[in-house]
Amino acid sequence: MNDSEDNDQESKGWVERLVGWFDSRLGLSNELLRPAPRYSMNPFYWLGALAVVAFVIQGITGSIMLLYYVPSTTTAYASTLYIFQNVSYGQFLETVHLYTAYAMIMLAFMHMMRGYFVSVHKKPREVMWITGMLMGFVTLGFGFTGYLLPWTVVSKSATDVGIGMIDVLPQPVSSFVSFLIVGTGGDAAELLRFFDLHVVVLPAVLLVLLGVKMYMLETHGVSEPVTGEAHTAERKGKLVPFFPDVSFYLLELAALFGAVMLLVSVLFPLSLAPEYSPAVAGQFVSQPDWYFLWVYQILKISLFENAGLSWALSFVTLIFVILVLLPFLDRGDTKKIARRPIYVTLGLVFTAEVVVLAIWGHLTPGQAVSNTQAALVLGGTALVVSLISLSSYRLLPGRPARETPIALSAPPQPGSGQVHSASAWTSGIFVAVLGAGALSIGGSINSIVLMATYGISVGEVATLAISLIALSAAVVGSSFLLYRLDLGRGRIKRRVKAFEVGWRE
Amino acid sequence: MNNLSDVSASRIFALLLLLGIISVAFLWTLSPVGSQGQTTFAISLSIDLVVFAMASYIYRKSKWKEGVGRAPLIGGCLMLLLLLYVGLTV
Repeated sequence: MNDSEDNDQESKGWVERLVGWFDSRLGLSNELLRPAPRYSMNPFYWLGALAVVAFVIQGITGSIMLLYYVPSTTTAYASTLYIFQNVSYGQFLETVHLYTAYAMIMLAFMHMMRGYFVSVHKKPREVMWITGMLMGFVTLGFGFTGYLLPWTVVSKSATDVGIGMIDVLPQPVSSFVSFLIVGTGGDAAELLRFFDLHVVVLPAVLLVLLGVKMYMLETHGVSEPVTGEAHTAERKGKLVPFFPDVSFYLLELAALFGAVMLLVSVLFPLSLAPEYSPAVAGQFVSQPDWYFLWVYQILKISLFENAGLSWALSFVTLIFVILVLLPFLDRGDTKKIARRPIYVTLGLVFTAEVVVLAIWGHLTPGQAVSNTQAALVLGGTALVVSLISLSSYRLLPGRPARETPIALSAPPQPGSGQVHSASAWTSGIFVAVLGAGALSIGGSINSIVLMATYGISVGEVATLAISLIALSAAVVGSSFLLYRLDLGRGRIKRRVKAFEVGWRE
Repeated sequence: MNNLSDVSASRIFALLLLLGIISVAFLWTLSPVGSQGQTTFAISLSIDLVVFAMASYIYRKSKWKEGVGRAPLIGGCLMLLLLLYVGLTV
């Protein structure tokens, strides 16, 4: 080692020297994984990685529970209760296992929707998208199979409703799926197969798919940003090595995610429902877990009752098929959100409908949904979201937001920090107003859903009126702030000026 | 100033390490049976995770020579306070 290297070593802090020691011994930075662009150091780029972290936590907690759980109809509930009451940190393990499963499903959904909005499904990442969709289905499969395992009255009844739908499928498919997940031996075979799928088959499939997706991530790299061209162009050339930079960043995200999961587990500890028996089952309304509630609510619409059930399942299947084949349907060249108004609006409508259906299903367990209610709620939601989205596209210029803050009413000196500070404050208020607007939309939709379900009441009409007033205020307020910020490089101000000139003339 | 000086960042880093060590040591003193022990365990582990995330953030930002931002550290401290509050009340 020469003098300059000695000086270099001495100038480093002890943490960097420690990291360097591990790196030199283990070869962690030897291009095992490709470097990531600097702009990808953003949590939204790593939602899928966080879903994998949730999967790992489930693997750890599930492996410990496997030491005690016995998958038979007579012992499943008793062994789950034993873990709860007698195993060290047993209730904590069960709670963390459940909540990380919920988080994994939520993160997978957010990852998918983010990918949809920023066009990661487009060339050259089509196969990566399809692999991700398959991973999403496996994740839902984890939820479906894991829900039955405690053998509570709630889980068994809900699973039976799901299994009952297999009969509606076309015959060869119906027999195959039925054999695959239920077998021919009644409850005992059903539980054993669900257990096998949950702890052996699905983890193996997910790991294979994860390997394929990681390989493709290494091949294509992180997706390009779709906003802030100037800002990212400046940083585009900057790559950070996977170790220690990217790996430490991912560990930070994973640590924060773990901390939040633990906190939620402490605040809302799991309680076990009564054991399943046919007699007790009659006293409970069968309802799936929250991530299937939107499907459940679709199936409750009168239009899809009895013979129409196969149409409902075909409709839900069609949604999944469209999502899988999206790269071949949305083939436009541009990836910019600002230039994809139709697809972005469709994505927003889909997200809003899923959320509304899930909340609606949660509020009305076991209640049938009339065709009028369905049309009012689903149509109303689609209309409100479409109008807001398309209006935003009309208001916002078709260009990505600029990164450089602009001068406000009294032009401050460049570089003084005043511009940045004022713009940051305006941006902060703008985000707050948008948040209030989103809450108002939620309040409006909630009032419409409640009125459609339980009839019109003075309270709900008042809530709807207040929500609409707040929404109008948010629209006016955000338009004003948008004018102040002028996100379109002065285009809004020019349009307003042109309008004023035309008005005077 | 939105960023901390190197000296302040180093001091905070050292404090975080100390808090992490205390928290880990505390974990081993807990009774694993009963809901109270489980709650304390979860909170203590959460504190460890947040401390790690904050220390890693300081290390990463110092390495990139971008300056250690105040806002993420204040956010982390608020999270630690929330965890302590939950640990004391639940």
